Amino acid sequence: MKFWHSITLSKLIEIAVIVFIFFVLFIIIKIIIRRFRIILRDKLSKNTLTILSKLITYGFILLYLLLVLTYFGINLSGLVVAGGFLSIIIGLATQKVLGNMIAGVFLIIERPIKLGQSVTIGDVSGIVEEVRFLSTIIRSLEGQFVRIPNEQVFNAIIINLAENVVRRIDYLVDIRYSDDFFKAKEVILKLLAEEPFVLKIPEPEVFVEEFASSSVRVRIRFWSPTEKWYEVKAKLLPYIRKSLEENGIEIPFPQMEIKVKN
Amino acid sequence: MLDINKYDFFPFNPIYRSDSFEFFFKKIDSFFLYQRKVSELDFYSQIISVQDITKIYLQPSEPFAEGFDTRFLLLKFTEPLLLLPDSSLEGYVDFPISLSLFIIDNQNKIHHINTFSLLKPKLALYGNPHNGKICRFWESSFSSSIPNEKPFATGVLQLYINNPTSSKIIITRLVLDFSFMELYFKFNSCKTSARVKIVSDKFAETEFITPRDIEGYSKSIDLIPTRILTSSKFLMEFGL
Repeated sequence: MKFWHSITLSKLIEIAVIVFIFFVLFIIIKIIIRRFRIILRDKLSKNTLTILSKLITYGFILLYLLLVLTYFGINLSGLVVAGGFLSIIIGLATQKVLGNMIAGVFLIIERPIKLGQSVTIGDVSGIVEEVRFLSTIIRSLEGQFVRIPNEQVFNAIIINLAENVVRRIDYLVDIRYSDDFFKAKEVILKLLAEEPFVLKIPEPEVFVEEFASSSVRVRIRFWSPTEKWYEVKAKLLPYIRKSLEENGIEIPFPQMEIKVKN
Repeated sequence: MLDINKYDFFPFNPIYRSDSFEFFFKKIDSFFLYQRKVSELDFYSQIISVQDITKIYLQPSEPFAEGFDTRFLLLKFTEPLLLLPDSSLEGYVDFPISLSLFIIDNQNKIHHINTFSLLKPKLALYGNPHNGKICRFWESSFSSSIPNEKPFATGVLQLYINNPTSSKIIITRLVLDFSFMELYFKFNSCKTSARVKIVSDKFAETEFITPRDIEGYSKSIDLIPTRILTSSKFLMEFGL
């Protein structure tokens, strides 16, 4: 009865205003979250975005509740002390987890890898499937699911094969000593000029790499758009051999000259 | 069979033929099968969800690089251009074009169905491997007179190059953002214009503009949607 008597009209209005402000702020936060989800949809996975949205929403509700309790004169110092102890215990118990989580946040901010990119992280090569809070998921080139803790990703040397717009392709082709290198060069450059995805600039290079024991080793270097790199690399080598052979230039077998002394 | 020798609207016919390409249309139940042949090696086929075609429309388009998404054209000059301090240069070069095919349905609505090029595209990098732009490559000679066009393959680009600086500048190439290209055509020839403003020996601003003397010419339908918030100027920042 005493409680009901203490409720006055002004208190009811105060409560109504607090609830109203809560709903207004809640809607604003939901709109902001939706905008961020659209902006970040290519950068973070759907799961991570959902977790992040929930964390922000529940964090806001908790914060608002604490503010309202403080406003109504409820002493939260006990709660703060208990919370402090709890934080220390949780912190000690989840040191590794927190380390991975912080590394995950830095990976999201620095973005050395992006979803769908082809990367090598330490010994693992593959496609980035997901950057989660605690770990990064890679689909290896053999199609395996690889989970790497974010702390390891953050500290590892990362080779991002898709970050630059172009990549170089290198071939090493052997020709016979009896073949004309300049003719071989002309044939190879003509073939490269006909392929649309071999870049005209930087210009392709063909040069003698080494005079080996059984052959002249010819280095072929050219650039291709990163997204066409594998297709071009896999395609051209057999055509180079075919063109060389059509022009009388052959890839030699290993040879050994044996001298017999009487 | 209908012969095509110009850019225009043509009444519907199952076969269209020009010296360098052929189109085939075949009605199959509730859709059309469209086929395009440029050479023995370039044959393309697709199904179109349309009940009836009354006309087709062929026009020149921006120099897309088939199989690769780029909106930049790198124009390399056969002979470098030397611009003296506070001077300007006007002239012509040829440039590659694409061909765009549209169909007009029985409700008089126009639909773009295919874009292709008679010239095999070649790509080039402008800038460094990290921040550079991959462009469609084209080499051309700067001339004071209008160069000969290859019908359905090339167009004419009129260039206005201005060097307001106090240094002499050598230009070996230009990079243009063709998403802002204004292409005009008459019969089987097409033209556009671009302005180049030199900022320093390493920088220049390039921009497509409306060409002069366009009376009797028609404007090509832009295939790249206009980006309102983007500048039509491209800043060449990796050298000239």
